[in-house]
Amino acid sequence: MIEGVMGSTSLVQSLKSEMSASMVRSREIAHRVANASNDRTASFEASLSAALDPENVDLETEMVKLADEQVRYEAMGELLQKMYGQIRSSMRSV
Amino acid sequence: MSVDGVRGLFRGLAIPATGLSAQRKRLDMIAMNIANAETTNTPEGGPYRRRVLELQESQSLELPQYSTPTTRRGGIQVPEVPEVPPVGSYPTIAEAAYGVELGEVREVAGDGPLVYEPGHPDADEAGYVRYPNVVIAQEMIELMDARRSYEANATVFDAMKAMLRRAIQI
Repeated sequence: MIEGVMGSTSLVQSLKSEMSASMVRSREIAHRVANASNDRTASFEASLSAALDPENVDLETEMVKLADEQVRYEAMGELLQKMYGQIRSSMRSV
Repeated sequence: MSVDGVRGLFRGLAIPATGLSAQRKRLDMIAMNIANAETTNTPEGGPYRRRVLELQESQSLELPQYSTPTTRRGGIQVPEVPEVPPVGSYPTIAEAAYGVELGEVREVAGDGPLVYEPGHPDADEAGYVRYPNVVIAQEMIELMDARRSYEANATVFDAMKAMLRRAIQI
């Protein structure tokens, strides 16, 4: 019974691993934002070509992604807290 | 600022912190360029040359090292702090997000303008003075860039902090 509530196939476990993955993705975004200006520091000419290169880090996109991750993380945190609350109350009422 | 020595959970905060630190140092360098925009004489000889701080992607992460105190402080023997291995399968090493690190400070090649000022102490025989190769407009663009990058890193820091706080509340 407890396996279904807290085991590896439970919703609690998938929420936990998704929160972990979300944190890793956020760190990658942080890394890209921290390195966003690297190409521009070399020289003025490099700065101009870096601005026109579509392969480069787009700060706006990264910030949108981060906001998305943040809201997801908050939602998952909220859900996880509720799940634990349910488990706790079911244990109390037995 | 380095991500080294920051434990798994809080590395999310350490990464934007490297960005903040790097952009502040870049601002310092821009400030120095502007302050020396009219400097015609330096200890190395010749006019001041524009300096650029190169930033590069940080590639390393060392596992946290705890210093073991060897001296007595205030008559109390400080116990040795045991080395704590990283917890479980938490992705600390495989993940390649270490932030940014400072590269070298480079002097930009190229001469500044030659201005005719016969009364100037640094003027040559013909009365010309070589000014630094600092262009104020360019420095201002750099300044705005560094400032916006700083703000972006600060926003990321805030977001990370909010996420960690949410995790703590569970």
